[in-house]
Amino acid sequence: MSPYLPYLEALALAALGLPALACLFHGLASLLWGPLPEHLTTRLTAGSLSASLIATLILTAAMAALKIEQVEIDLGPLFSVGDYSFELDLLVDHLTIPFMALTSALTGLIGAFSASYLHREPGFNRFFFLLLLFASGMLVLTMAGSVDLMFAGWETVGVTSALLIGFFRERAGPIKNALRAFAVYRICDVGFLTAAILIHHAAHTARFSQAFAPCAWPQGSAHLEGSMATAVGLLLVFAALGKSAQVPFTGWLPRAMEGPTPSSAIFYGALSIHAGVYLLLRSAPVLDAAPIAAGALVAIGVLTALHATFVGRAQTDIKSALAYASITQVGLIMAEVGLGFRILPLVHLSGHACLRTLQILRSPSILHERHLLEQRLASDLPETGRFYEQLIPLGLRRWLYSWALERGQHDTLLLRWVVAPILALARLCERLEAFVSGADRPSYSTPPPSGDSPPARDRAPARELSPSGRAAPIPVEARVSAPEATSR
Amino acid sequence: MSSASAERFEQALSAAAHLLPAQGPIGVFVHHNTLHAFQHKPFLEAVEEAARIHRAEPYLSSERFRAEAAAGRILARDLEAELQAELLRLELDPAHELAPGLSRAACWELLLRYPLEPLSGQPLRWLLSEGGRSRRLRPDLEPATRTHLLGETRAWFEALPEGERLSALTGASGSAGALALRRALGVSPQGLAQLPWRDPEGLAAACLQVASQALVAQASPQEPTVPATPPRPRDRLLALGCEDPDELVHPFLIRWLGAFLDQGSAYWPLEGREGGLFSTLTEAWTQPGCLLEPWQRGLTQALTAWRERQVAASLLATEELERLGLEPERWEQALQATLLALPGWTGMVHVLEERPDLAPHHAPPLDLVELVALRLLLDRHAAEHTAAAAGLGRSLRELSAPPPPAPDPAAQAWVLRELAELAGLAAPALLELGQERVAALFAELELCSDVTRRRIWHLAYERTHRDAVLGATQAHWREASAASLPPPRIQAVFCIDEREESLRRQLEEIGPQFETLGAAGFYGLAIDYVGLDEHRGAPLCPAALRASHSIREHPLEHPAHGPRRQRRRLLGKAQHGLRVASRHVTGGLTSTLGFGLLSAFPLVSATLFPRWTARVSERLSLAHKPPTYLSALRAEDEEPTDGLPVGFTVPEAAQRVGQLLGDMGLRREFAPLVAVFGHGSQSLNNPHESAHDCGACSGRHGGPNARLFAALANDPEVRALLRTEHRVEIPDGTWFVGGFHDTCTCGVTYYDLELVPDSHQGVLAELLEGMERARTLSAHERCRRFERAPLNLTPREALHHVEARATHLAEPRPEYGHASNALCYVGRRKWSRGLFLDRRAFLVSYDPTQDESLEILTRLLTSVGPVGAGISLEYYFSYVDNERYGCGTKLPHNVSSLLGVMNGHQSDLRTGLPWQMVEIHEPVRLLTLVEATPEALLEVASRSPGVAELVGGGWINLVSIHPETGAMQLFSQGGFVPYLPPPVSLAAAPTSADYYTGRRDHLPPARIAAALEIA
Repeated sequence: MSPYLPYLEALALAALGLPALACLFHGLASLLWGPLPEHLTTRLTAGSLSASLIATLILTAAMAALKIEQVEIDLGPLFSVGDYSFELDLLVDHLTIPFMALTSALTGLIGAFSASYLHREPGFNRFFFLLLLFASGMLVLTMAGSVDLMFAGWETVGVTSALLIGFFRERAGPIKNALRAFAVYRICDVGFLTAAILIHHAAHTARFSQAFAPCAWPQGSAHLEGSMATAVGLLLVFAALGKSAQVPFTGWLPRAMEGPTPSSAIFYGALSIHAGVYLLLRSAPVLDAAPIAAGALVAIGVLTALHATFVGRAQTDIKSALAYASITQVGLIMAEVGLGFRILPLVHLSGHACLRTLQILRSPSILHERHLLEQRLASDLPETGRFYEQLIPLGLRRWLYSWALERGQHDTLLLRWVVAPILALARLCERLEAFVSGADRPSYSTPPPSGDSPPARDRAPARELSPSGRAAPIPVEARVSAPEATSR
Repeated sequence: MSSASAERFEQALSAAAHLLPAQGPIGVFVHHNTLHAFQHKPFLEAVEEAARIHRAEPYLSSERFRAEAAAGRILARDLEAELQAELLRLELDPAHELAPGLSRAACWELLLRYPLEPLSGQPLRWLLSEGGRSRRLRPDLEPATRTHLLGETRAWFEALPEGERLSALTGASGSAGALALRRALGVSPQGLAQLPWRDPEGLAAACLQVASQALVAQASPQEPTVPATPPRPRDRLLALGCEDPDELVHPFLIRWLGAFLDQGSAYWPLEGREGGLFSTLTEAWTQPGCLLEPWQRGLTQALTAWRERQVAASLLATEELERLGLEPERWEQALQATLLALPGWTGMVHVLEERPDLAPHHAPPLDLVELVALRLLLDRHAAEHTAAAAGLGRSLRELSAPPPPAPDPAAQAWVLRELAELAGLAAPALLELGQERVAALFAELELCSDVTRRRIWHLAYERTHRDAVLGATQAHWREASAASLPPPRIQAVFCIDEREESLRRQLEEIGPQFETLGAAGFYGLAIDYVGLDEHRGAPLCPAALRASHSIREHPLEHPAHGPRRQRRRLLGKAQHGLRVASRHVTGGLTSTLGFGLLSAFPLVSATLFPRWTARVSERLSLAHKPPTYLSALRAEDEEPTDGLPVGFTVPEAAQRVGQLLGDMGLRREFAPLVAVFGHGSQSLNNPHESAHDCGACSGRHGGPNARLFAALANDPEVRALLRTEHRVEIPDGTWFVGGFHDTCTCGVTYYDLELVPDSHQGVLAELLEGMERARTLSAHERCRRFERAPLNLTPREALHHVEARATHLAEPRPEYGHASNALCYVGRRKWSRGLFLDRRAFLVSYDPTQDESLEILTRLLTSVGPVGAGISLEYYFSYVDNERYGCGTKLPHNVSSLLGVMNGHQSDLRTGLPWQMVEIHEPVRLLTLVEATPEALLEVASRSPGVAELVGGGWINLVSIHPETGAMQLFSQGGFVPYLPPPVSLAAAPTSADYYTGRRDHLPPARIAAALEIA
């Protein structure tokens, strides 16, 4: 036990706590006094994130100097229910450190960038609040010492991601695409939550240091039996697919390029997109014990990389092209993780985060940069896509192009073969329930408007006439409470 | 297809296509009137009609205008004057009495000054109950009106016997009225009697509310006019409350149009584009597995059938129109709605079809008809799918929009009550009006509609601005014209661009040794320029002209040239390779593993130290050119082998130079040194970069024109010919220098300084020193408009600030461009010298005393008029409705196909200007002051139809200033009328900095003493 441990713990707490406190302060102050002045907001962001970065760097140096492999901080339980207690414990080890540094450095940089990029924008205050919340969520995600706490960070990242995609809320497109991203996140959360329950069940703890004992990352091993390990491993892989936009969930990522350019860069070039990789690296001992899950991960990673690289080649707008370039590399990183590499994916990911962030930030410069390149080359840019492609027969080439431009029809297929059947099932259940209970509950799936019924948008009069007995039912409440009532 | 119907279709399509935006690829941005399709109509009529067609705003909102009036930007007397003028124009009697004590003019003024929001349904119910308006009067009433209303109601209420009060109020049976009144006030029957002294305002408000409701209820209900069924099935479906079928069609169509028009953004180009839009897209779409979305069912068969028939696309389109059951008379309407559903992309197809030369890299064959045919087919499938999903059956012919809702009596009563409150009509007075006069009041509200009110406000907004500017100019005129300054030692010629105004003024403030002149920045040289580092020519002349000569920049013998070229090529290859590779599998793997972490350096430095990064990158890429020369002159017998002639012959050069100098009135009085500056703008992360460049060089840098002009004017043979043929005498002691002014960094560079003779080194040093000072101060002056630049910057810091802006990736406003434009001065500099115009005025040099034939004025106005009006009107529309006419905020912009920007992931191609470029603009028409007699101007208009259209239609506001007396005449409704600006006390300051320091907004003109004094 090193005598310096309390200092290291304090540093780790500072790295997480400063952005979180800044976020809390910013949120409360905005609630109380309305949007803060731009310069205050910027300073708060820059100050807290650079302090967090400095704390992380000192912590790294100290851990290296003292040859400490991991620092665990137990803040006690947040709440307990019966046998279960939600522990607030943080874990800083070799996996955490690079993510912490990337998070505070890149978010801080994006903060500095956005200070002038979003100047005078009506959503300035909201953007910075969400950026701070995202940084805090990302730090919780990476520093969490247990599956439970990690889920809190995971969700925060998801929510901020969706809210920033829908940043321009006066238009319909961003809102729809934010909802789509959020839906994908939630679907994959099923994997995360189920895996967490299984880990609890099998290892009787949610702590990584105990579940993946006895050594520090990456040497630990999971104390799970074969089939359990495979199940947990597959569930974790499923959980990672959504956040990291792997096949078949690639479709939301290009659509997520709706927010201001810097938020697209930090989320889908740098951090959020790699959250799935972090989850799998953190639970690497499970993958070690579950070759089937690892194999599936490799297959999905390679498939994603191939899919994304072909699709990306046909995209004509710069942000979609970069989104698919991002997916390509994340697919490769996933495959590396599946193949059992631990340090390689970390290096790959850090390099990718920096390069892609820069590319997305510079994407509005594409015309300017192209002109500069032409000047340097003193010619038109060399033609692309005419080398190996010439070997493919014309018919196949045409088909491949259509397929790529239509993004492999992933979204259409998902809608047709997954979403539509689930919705049909839900409607069936609803009807069954109505039949069994005999009650006439308000529907929460939109019935198709028929020709003689009033337009779908204005159904208020029908509700007023409903024989519910209440004087004036508030529509929103009625709609929200219905599913809850059925689930109880 | 019969030839008649083919002809009909062609006509309908070309009429509809005229409404599409005319903006070309964004790499070369040429400002133009957004409503070019309406330019043959008067301005006011055109903006209002366009607003209906494009569902856009014609003017700023009334609310905004009221705020401007409260801030003093619109004077009360101007609003009143414009109101009177508008009533006169509409042939309405201002004194007509609408109600006792309420004249029409007074009523309109109330409607202008106070918001009258039409409310109905839930919002109205909320306002009355929760908002408390059922028992409260408007909070913004004048105190006198309020007292009057309370007193009147109370007196009337108390005077009536109890039983009659309520029946008097409602005109119907007492009990219903009592109930209504009590409900409005929430009081018991006993409470009602106590009201007059307990809550007089509640009584007044409730009585008015009940009275207006009663009056509206008694009125015979108006038959709602049934609007014609919209020709597009999509619009009918929307009216029926269905999902929008366009949301199915657009993502698909945008992807494929982007692919077809792509200029090299995607790694894989779409193959076979030479075959045209129709053939390429139908071929690609009929690939197996392409059309899988539910709404696309049946499309494959339809497209295959189309391909097999091999008939003209117009026939297919006509068939589609007929299938919708549309008679030929409605085709134009249907096509207009179809084209305007996706105006940006459709407009780009239309522009590139007509001007393939505008395509930066590839110009695939385009035909709007083919796009229309495909689109109509897609539209039909999407609409049928939507209709079927909504249970409306698959037949689109029978779809008809639901009848419009009947007018809401509560909403009408609300409007009546609001108006009555404003006019001080208490409930009894309102009741006394009776049915007919109430109906007349409603008719009056129709007349004084929202658009009419905003039109009056807009005219008042322009009037206040005009009076201030013209008053100041007149006050300045006499003193400035009388000032006699010694002959200058340096004459500096700039583009007419209003951004050069501050530089010119700051230069003249140094002392009388400087004189400045303005001419369109291509300096009369329509050239196709191939710079040292370019591999193809770019036209440097206004978009309306075609380049007549090719000019090339060649390297002088210099040891650095070869290695520079090689190293730059190597660097370019490496950069290009890395960029392409980083997006692919293996290349991406190696580049992210190999260089990924290294990119943290540029990432950090570009964000935190932009100026330094720019310098390092310039040094690394060897951007600095070794010495070069231009192929300016060619021997007369050298005929072009192919393409344009390279260089001018001596007579051609003399003609160009002589004409430009003559147009500026510069024939004899040459200073020892004449500097000519072109301009342009360089910025990062800005797809609209070209919109900040020189408009006279069609959105490019004008430096080469200035350099070429100086080279030609220095040539002894050209000078000799100028003297003999063109009456322009350039003395031997005069030397011309070319230069370039970057309006974003305030940087100034010079060309060919090594050629300046020794005799001129002294005066050259004076120029360099003067320009250094002027550009620094001009940067300082610009910084006052940037909120992120503190107001207490020193000039040196300000220069650094603007330099950082230009090189900063995170700067969406590298400069404010033309955002401040509002004025245009055409005339001798001597009467605008020393007038602080706040970078708002285009300054054109013109000497009426040398232009008896009016040739020069015709030439100037024919070129300056459309350019100035184009800029001014593009800013007007982009500001007034930034979503419809402009391209919204820059932050989510996504460059697509290298042609334009989309919002975020995918949207229509956005045309017009982004909000960040226009946010400080004042939307007024260009106020053009010309030093010429009204007769001369009318003569010019009769010679130039373009000028006549702009002036006659009121697209610019023209003022004549008499060259001798300075008397002003304003062009108004077809003729000039004498104009006496209200007396203005002209602000005065020793220097510009003394005047503007510490202030951020637009500033009225002021006299700057330093520019008029003899130092």
